[in-house]
Amino acid sequence: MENSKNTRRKFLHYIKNFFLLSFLSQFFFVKNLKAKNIKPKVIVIGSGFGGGTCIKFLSKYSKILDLHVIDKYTQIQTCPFSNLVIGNVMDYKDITFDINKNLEAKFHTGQIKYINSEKKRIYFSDDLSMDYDFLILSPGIGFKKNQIDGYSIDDESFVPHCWTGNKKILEFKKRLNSLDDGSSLVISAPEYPYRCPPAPYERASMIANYLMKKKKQFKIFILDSKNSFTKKEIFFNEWKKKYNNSIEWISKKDGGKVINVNNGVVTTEGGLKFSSDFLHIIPNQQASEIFHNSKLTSDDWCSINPINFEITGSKDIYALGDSIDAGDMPKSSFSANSQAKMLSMNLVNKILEKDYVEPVFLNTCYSFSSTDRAFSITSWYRLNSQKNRIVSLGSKESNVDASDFDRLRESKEAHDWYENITKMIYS
Amino acid sequence: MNKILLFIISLIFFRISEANDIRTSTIIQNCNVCHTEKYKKSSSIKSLKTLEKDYFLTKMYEYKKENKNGVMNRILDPINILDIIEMADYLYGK
Ligand SMILES: Cc1cc2nc3c(=O)[nH]c(=O)nc-3n(C[C@H](O)[C@H](O)[C@H](O)COP(=O)(O)OP(=O)(O)OC[C@H]3O[C@@H](n4cnc5c(N)ncnc54)[C@H](O)[C@@H]3O)c2cc1C
Repeated sequence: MENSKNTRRKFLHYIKNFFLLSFLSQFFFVKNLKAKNIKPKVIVIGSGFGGGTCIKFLSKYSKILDLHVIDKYTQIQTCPFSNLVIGNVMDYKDITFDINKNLEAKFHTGQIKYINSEKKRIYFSDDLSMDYDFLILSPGIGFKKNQIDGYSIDDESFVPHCWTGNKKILEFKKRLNSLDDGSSLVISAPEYPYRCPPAPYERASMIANYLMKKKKQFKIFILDSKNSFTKKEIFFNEWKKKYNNSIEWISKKDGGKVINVNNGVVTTEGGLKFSSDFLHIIPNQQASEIFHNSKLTSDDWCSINPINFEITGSKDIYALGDSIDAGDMPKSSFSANSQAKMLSMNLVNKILEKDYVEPVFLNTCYSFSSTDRAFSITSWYRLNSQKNRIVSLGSKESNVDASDFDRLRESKEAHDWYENITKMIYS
Repeated sequence: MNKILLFIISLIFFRISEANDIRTSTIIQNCNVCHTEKYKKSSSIKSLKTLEKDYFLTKMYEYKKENKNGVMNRILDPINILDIIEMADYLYGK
């Protein structure tokens, strides 16, 4: 009897303690969450085409996440259409945008030098640091060093490469403007993969467009580290039509790859020598420095899971845009924009504990051959059957022999595309 | 309109698309790279959300049918008519 009474008392005691404990723990838990602010902290590094699109998309979810944005600049100068600035078709101001700070996000200006993925902490160049729950990296590209003897990216005596958005485009134009009649120009085109595959050839076209408008005679040699390039037949056709073969392309197999520069004289792998009045080297590229400094990749490009864009082997760090190995997708702002939407959509799904959606991607890349002549290449992309690689459904280009009307129409579409994508991100 | 319907129905039955399993909403996210807002009056690129469903379907049908090689013709190449109808339903309601 005594025993059963004791047991009942003990049982009631347990129950009482259980309710008391659960009430207290619940109370402290809620208080703790409130104090801690349970929204996961998402930091986006880079406010360019990839990062800028993520911010635009994720800022709509400010109720469920605490969004932070970091860029080293307060103003973005876009690479798309920078060739048109070189060609005097657009003004420098037309491709310069303030970062859009009217969004539900906290903006910070500073350069990130290192990421500690174990501590989930990022470090600024002035050694300040910030913790994250989820990190998104879209910092664009980096450059390989020691690729051409006698050339250094930091040597200001060379024509600036203008392959990242910075103000050196004005210096580039100044040098172009100072060329005499009958000048010889050399462009060294990089090895694959690199940012915007048709851009070196569009740049050659826009330099020609500029010099022709100034009624100057010129010869441009494109010395290539590759044996082919995108939209090649269209470019050849356009160059013949517009510039009377003043642009000459020399492929790698014809000895075009530049290996040495000395006193303005360029030597190629095939032993060809060119003395040039304007030497424009577009350096070989790799993922942005931050990936290498932080040991987020041991390869040239960062490997990701193409479903959610999480970096292989680095939990809760996502990457997109030009620094990643995106399978068949070219490195373009259209691609970065498409990837950003899929990444953001699946990050929100993860936070809401929903299933991932299987992404699909699109890319359209316009190139100009002169002020009002443009053409394009288009492709859809999806995941392969193993879901570990982005593959093309087949790319298609404009016609090689398209009419003047079609070239003009595509140039208008290109301007409208640029207007829309930049307004979407920066306004 | 009847002709359009006939064309749509025939395509549903006779065309196998590579993009069959592409989810409608993710396709539209990609269309929105260009077609979000119309920022400039003279823009040739229209905002999808301001269109009428009928106009959308007719225009898409045109792009698929016409023998041109414009950007939209190429973009629509791997998208089949079923996808287009699903996109229209998604954007403008059933
Ligand atoms: C000449 C040229 C023409 C092009 N034309 C086209 C075109 O017509 N169409 C097209 O689709 N694409 C074009 N591109 C390609 C396009 O520019 C890129 O593919 C696109 O910008 C990639 O986006 P991203 O987000 O990866 O990098 P970006 O847009 O370069 O953005 C990177 C951002 O990260 C910031 N950042 C970098 N490192 C740090 C750091 N450590 N800390 C803080 N912030 C940092 C930078 O300031 C920058 O704002 C062109 C490129 C070139 C060079």
